[in-house]
Amino acid sequence: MAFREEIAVRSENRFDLESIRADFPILDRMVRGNPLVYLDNGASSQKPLQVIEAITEYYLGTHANVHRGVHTLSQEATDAFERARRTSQSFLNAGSAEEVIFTSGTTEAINLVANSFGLRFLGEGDEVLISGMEHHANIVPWQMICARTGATLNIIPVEDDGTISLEKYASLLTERTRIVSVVHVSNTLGTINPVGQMIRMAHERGIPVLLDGAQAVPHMKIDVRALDADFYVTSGHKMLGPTGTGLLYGKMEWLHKMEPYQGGGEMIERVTFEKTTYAPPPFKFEAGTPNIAGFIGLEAAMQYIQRIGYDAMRMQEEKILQYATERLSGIKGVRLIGTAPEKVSVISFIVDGAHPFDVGTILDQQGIAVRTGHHCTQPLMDRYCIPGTVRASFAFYNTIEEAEKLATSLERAISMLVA
Amino acid sequence: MDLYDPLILEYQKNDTHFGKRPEAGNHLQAYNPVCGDSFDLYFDLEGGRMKDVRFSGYGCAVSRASTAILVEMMEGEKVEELSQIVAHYLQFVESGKDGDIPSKWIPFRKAGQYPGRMKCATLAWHELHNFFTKRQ
Ligand SMILES: Cc1ncc(COP(=O)(O)O)c(C=O)c1O
Repeated sequence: MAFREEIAVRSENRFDLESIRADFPILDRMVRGNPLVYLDNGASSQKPLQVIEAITEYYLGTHANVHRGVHTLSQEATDAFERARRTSQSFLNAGSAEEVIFTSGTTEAINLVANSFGLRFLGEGDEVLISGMEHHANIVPWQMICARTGATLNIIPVEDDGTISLEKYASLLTERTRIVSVVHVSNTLGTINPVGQMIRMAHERGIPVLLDGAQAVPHMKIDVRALDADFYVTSGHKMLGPTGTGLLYGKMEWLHKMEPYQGGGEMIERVTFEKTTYAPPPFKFEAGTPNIAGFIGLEAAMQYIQRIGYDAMRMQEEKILQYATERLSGIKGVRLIGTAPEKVSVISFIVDGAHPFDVGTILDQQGIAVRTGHHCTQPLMDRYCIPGTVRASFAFYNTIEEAEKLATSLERAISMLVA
Repeated sequence: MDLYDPLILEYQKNDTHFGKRPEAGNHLQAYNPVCGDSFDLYFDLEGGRMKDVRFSGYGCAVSRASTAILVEMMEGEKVEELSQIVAHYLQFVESGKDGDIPSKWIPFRKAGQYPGRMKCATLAWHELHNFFTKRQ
């Protein structure tokens, strides 16, 4: 297939921005008469042709249900699906493929752990420790399980610059803390938390740690074993993959001890009306027909990232982050929210006298897509006493020119709104 | 850009009726969980009319202006008539039905046509509409 070969050739050049952008046809579209400037990658990334093609080819030539047929298609689909699991294993550097559970996303993965771990290990008076910069997906499931088990939810406070103080963290690790669940990279602030150290400190007290890596995996190589994370969760759609895919890495020792999350087909060993025994991990946690095509697409996304390389991606993102940070903080009336020294390419800001939604709408008029609002981190907004921010989140396929367009359009918006 | 019609920009700064009135007979809260915009409406009902209407809260230019223009219309208005006006406004902004409408409403319909902005043009109006519906 000439088309595929052409893609392969293009991808061999290490970091050629033009050819990378050509892999993302959506970047060529117009929005309201202007070329699209897509700066909402934190909400969801765009998808390269390689991912779209992998899904299409799967549906055109291979699809059948997995793990349940003796026919050829079913076997091929199962092989492809399980190969995607092994690719995910090496992508996260998990010890075994059985430690990688396929979920519908970060949200489902956290709910799974909160329920399966929480119902087994949480009781009256126990404590769950999260941070003040969590996404609602890493707050609400724990609140729900605390309400059911009588455990308490404790919060590591966030400093003014958007960092976590390790001293305050240390003082919140108690003999009743049963699990720490924190965001690796903040979706609102861009802060990269010192998770390696946080895990070591928790482990000194025998406390397991879950990392919400939804915003980390799009930007940096994750090695769950080097981190020594007990659980690591992420979403495929933020890292070039399809929606409805997510990864949950869990150490086998925990997965064995945890109860299943949902019941149904695929997760069983033997079912009678009296008693059901469960399949071993990962299948114990994967009830029902999974998102087969989705994980085949996600595999293509991981391969795409591996081919470009995180180092090259990060270099481009850093360049843009630095440019945009300088440019935006020089605009009168703009205040950046989240100025941690260790950050990914996310810039949140507010504009004196202008509401984020109004700024967002005016930017959209110039073809610029940004996120506005509380970014599913309402407690964090309360912490800064603001109702929301405008957030520009850059991917490696963005350009300095796009960052400049953001700045000039923002200046125009301010002159319109703040007269 | 027609979203930011001069009328909207003017009304977002209009604070003729701005302020809290905790002692008011009626207090409604209009809240949009998507963006966090939140307005309080305070009013008394006397002889079937709206009296001493105030609003407070925080929101974008469109939600603030749409609340200010609602409150202006509420003051001294008969409940029955107001209830019909509110229903008419919502119909006009949301489904684009024309008819005899005050020209002041036109910028709000335009605002409602921008992605994700319909709720800004109708937030407080919906809250009052619910109040009337519950009363019946
Ligand atoms: C830090 C963080 N955690 C969790 C989530 C939830 O991810 P999903 O909606 O893909 O389940 C997000 C997505 O916005 C996020 O940024």
